[in-house]
Amino acid sequence: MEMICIRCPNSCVLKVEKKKGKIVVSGNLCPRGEEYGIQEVTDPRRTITSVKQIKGGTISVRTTVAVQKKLYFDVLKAIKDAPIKKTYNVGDIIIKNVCGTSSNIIVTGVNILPKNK
Amino acid sequence: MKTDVLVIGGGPAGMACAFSAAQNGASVILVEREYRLGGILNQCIHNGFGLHYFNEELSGPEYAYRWQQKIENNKKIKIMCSTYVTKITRGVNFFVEATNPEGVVNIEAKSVILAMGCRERPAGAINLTGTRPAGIFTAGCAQAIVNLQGKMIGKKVVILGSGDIGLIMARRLVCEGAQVVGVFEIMDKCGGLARNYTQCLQDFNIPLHLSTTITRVKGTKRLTGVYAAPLINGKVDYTQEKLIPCDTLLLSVGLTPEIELVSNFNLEQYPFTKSYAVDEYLQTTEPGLFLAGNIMQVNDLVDNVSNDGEIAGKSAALYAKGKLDITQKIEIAHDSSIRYTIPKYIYKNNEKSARICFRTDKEYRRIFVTATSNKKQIAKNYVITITNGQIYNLNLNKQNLNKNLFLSIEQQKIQE
Repeated sequence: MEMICIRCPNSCVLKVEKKKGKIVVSGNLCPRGEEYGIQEVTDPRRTITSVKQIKGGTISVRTTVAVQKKLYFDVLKAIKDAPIKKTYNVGDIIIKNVCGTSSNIIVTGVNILPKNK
Repeated sequence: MKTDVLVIGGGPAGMACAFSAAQNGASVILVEREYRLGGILNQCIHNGFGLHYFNEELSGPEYAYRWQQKIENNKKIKIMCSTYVTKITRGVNFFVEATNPEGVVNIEAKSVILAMGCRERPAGAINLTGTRPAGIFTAGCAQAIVNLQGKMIGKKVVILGSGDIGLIMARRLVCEGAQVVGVFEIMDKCGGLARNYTQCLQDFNIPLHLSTTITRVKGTKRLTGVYAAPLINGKVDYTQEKLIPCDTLLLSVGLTPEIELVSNFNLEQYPFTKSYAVDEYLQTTEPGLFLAGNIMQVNDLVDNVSNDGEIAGKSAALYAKGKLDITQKIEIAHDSSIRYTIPKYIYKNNEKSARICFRTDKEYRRIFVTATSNKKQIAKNYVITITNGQIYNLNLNKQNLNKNLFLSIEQQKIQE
């Protein structure tokens, strides 16, 4: 099967085949391509980013590590459903081990417009 | 107010400029029109930023936050947010007029760096015909509404243009519950990076229609549909025009540098970038006036932008001290596989090296980038791949540089 490696902008076209029960990756220019090729056919993962409404504005968030692709919309829902706190700072953990994964959800940005004088 | 270096724009380029100018001993004023620093990074919530600078995959706001931390408590840098520059003139020094909630601000600076980035090309720039209903947004504008204000812009969306912002917004809108009917691209290949095509469109089964464009829009109050038609031999085939029902159209059709502020200066223009020509210090043909970031050329990686900022910041600090070495100017020549170079000029001076960026006419794999001066080869770099539209950075050792410089691309001979 053919796929495009998403680990860096080189965007290598990978060929991933099963040979004698082993997964063989070709077309990659670096070891990260092999890692990606194997991961993508056995257990595809993505870093998920989203936005959550808070009082007076929004926060942007992401998973700390890539999580299973099939959990994409579950993770998005968990972010929307998380209770809203009074204050947020960049780096705060808002959900630990989201959807049973080993990833936390952290705050990447806080967007609250200043009040007009 | 007086300063050595004035930086206009508080995004990734401007923050790096301020940091670097201060590191090199200059006093700095950084002016930003928004209420906070970060620029467009604040709305780029997706990840993939900072692989080179921080060795991590950060989101846009985090990348901005890291730089903000580097400059915020620096005594040499004065940051002025909610401030908009209206006019720049020059005597010996530059005189800059700006406005902010307190009133008019006058700043006198020895050197000025423009780091205002780009603005998006709107519907008017692509002769979009039809009615003028609500529901037509540029992709970046939609990104600001969805990511910063947390508001949705529509339910059924068509995207015109497959640049990176268009692809990233397609995924964002699906994640927020919208249906993205398709992405339409007038060219015969995807405009954005292949990795963005994979993780933004393929992952969500969003179709990409190549060699197809939107011919007109329909709807009175709100958009009710767009007409799409394929291109045959570069011409739109109206006989195959089809109506696609939707309530929202996103335009991701290119960026234009914000260069009008200095149109009163007689700067050499650079048609390849729709901006101004610069030398290795990122200085325009007006001494002491520098460019950095997307105002100079549209970058695909923010790390490149920060790198620009570091070069321009240092150069502006040196200019303010009267120490910018500009002996023997050389115009860089190149073969036809290289579309243009930044800078356009370098100097045969005491600087040991210079960064030269270029884009190629098509994709190249396994090549040598060679630099020749006075018929002598002075650099030969092996490059695994330069993808279409990607910027290649060459760090040229200038020790053997003579009266001229020629860059070329050579295919590696493969023995099998």
